[in-house]
Amino acid sequence: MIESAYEILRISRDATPEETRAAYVRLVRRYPPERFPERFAALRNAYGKLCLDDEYLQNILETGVCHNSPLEFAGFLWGDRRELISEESNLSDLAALTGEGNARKADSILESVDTSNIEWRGKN
Amino acid sequence: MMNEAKIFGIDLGTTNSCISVLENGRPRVIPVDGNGVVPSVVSVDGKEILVGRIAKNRASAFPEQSARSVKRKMGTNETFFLGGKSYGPEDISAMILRYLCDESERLEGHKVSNVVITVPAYFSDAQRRATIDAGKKAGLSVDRIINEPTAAALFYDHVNISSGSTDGSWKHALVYDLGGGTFDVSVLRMSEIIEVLASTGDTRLGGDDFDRCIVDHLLDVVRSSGGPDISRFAPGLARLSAVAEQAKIDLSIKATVEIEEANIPTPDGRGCMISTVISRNDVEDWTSHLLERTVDFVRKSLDEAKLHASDIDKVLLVGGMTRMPVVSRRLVELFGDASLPAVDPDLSVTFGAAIQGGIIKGENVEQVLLDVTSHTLSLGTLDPFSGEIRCAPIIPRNTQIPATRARLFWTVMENQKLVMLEVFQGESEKPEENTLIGRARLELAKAEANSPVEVEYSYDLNGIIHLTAEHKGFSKKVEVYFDSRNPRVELNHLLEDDESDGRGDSETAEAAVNFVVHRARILFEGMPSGPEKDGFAALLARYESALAEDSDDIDDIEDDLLSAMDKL
Repeated sequence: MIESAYEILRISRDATPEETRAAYVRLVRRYPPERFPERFAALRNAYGKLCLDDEYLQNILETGVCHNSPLEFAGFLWGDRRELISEESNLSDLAALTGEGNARKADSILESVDTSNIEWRGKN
Repeated sequence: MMNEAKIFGIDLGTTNSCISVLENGRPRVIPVDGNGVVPSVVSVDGKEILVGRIAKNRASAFPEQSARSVKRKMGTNETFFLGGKSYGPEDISAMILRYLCDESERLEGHKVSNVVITVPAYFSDAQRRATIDAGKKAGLSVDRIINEPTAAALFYDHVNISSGSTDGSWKHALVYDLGGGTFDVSVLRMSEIIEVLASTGDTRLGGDDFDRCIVDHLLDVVRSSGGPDISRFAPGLARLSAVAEQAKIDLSIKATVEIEEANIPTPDGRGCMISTVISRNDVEDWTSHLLERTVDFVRKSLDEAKLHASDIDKVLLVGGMTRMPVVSRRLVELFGDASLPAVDPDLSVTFGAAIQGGIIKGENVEQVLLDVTSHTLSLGTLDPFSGEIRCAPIIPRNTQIPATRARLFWTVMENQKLVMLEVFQGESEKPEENTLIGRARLELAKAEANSPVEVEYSYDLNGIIHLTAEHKGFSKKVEVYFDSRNPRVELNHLLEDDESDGRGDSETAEAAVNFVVHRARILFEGMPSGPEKDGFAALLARYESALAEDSDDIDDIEDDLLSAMDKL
C-alpha cells in the first residue's frame, strides 16, 4: 500500500517531507481537481498516507485500537479499505502502514495501549 | 458547461450583492444600480417587485412590504409575507439574482445564464442547497458554489500573479470576512497552489448585529426623553435601523455623528423625534463583545491550521464591516507584523467568483485551488457498550474537497430488516449537539448479525454532500437521497436492482487542460511557421496524449516540453 503511494507521487522511498510535498504540489498542478477529480483523490490519499501529522496519527490509532475495529479504522484512514481487507491484519502491519517516519511513532503509541482485550475482526 | 457563454460571478450578500465577469483575464464588476453594489432588499409594491436601491429606499417607509437580510434565513422554512403572498428565503434570493442578471443583460447586451455564487464558508448543507435552488428559481445554471473567504483569497492571489509579483516571502494568509450578516475566517497556504487549511465562522454574526446595538441605544434615548416605546413597532424600528446603519458607516470616517430625525413612526401614529450625538468610541464600546467573538474564531482557526499568529504573513479584510477602524486595529494587535494589504472589502468576493468561473471554463488555468469542508460529517451509530447513539465521523472538518470517504459498519441483529442512516453535521460525538441533516431508511436483505454495511460520504466541489451505501455481499452500491431542508423526513431505499453507481467518469481528453498545455498553446499560436513550430506541435501533441492516456513517461515529456518552452 505504502509502495503504491510512493508510486502515485512518483517519488523514491527515502523522499524527505519537503520532496514529498513538492511532488504533490507539482502533480496537483498537472492534474487540477477541476479537470481530474479522480486523479486528485488518488494524489490526496497518497499524500495523506505519507504526511500524517503526529497528532492526527495518534488520534486515529487510539480510535481504531480502542474501538476494537482496526479494519474500520484503516478504511477511515486510507480511504481505500479494499486493499487492506484482503490482508491479515495485526498490530505490526498496522504500524508498518504508517510509513517511514511515522512507524516508530505508531509503535510507541501501540505499546502504550492496553491490547489484552482486543480481538481482531480480520482474523474471525 | 463547455459552451461559449461566460460564467458570471455573484456575491449574494446579506446586505449587498454584486455581479462581475472575467474579461481578458481580469474580473470586472457590472455597474448595476450605479456602482455595482446592489442592496439585497426586495420590496413588493402592489404587483410590482422591486429590488436593489429602489427597494431599499422603499423599505424604510414600508418595512412590512419589504424583505432584507434573507440570507440569514437561507436553509430554513421561514416565510416572508409580502404584498399578500408568502415567499421562502430562496424565492427572495431568486428575485435578487434575477434582478442582477436582468440588469447585467441590459447593461452588457449578453445573456447571463451560467453563474458561480458565493456562500459563507460556514454555510451548512441545507444553506448551500437553498442557494443552488435560489439560482434555479431565477432560471440560472449554478456552475459552482464557492466559499466567500476562499473567493477573496483567489482574487488576491490573481492580482499578485497578474501584476507579476512573484514575492515568495509570504506563505500563509488569513481572510477575515465580516459581512452584513455572516462572519467567516479562513487560513490559507499560498504557494503554486492555494490550499485552505482551516475555515470556521458564524452564519449569524455580522453588521446587522452591530446595528442592533446602536438601535438599542437609540431606543433608550427615545425613552429617556419621554418618547413612546417603539421597541416592538416594526416601522419605527425599521427607521431606527436605517439611521443606525448610516451612523455606523459615517463613524468609520468621522469621530462623532449628530443624529437628528423627526417623524419616527410610533404606534399611536403621532410620530416622535430623536436628537443625539454618538461617537466612534461609544459604538466601539457597545459592540466590543461582538468583535471579541470574531477574535475567538480567529484564534480557533489558527489552532486548527496548527499555526501561530506570527506565521501569518498577510491578513485580508473582506466585507463592509471591516471598514470600522477598530477591526483593523484589533487585527494589527493580534498579528503585529503581518501586513493588511489594501483589498476592496466590497468587491473581492464577487471578483473571486468570476475568477472561479474562468477556472471552470478553462480560461484561467494558472491557479489551482483546494478548499476544505467546514463541518465534520458523521453517521449516527449504536454504541454497543452504552447502548446510546454516537456520531461516528466519516469526513472530518477541514478535509480538502472533493473528498470521498467510506467506513464500514455492522448490523446488530440477524435478519435485520433495515438500518436508519442519520447524517449529522457537527463536531460533537453526541447527536443532540450536532445538526441532523438527513435521514434515510435502508432496507436490507436477510443476513447474519454483524454483516457489514459500507457507508460512503462525498463532499463535492460545491460543498454538497452525497451518500452511498452498500450491504457488502448482499447488494449493489446505491445512492441514498435525503432532504436536508426537512431532515426529519425519512426517504426509503431498497438495496437491490441498482445497476449504475450513479457517477460517470468526467475525465475526458477534451477537458484535459492544465497550465502546461495552456501556456504551450499560447506560445504555439505566436510562433512563426516553420520546422521549429512543427517540432513544438509534435511535442505538445505527445504531451497531451500522455496526459490523457496516463503513460509512464509523462514526467520526461513534461520536462522536454517545459524546457522547449523556456527556450522560446
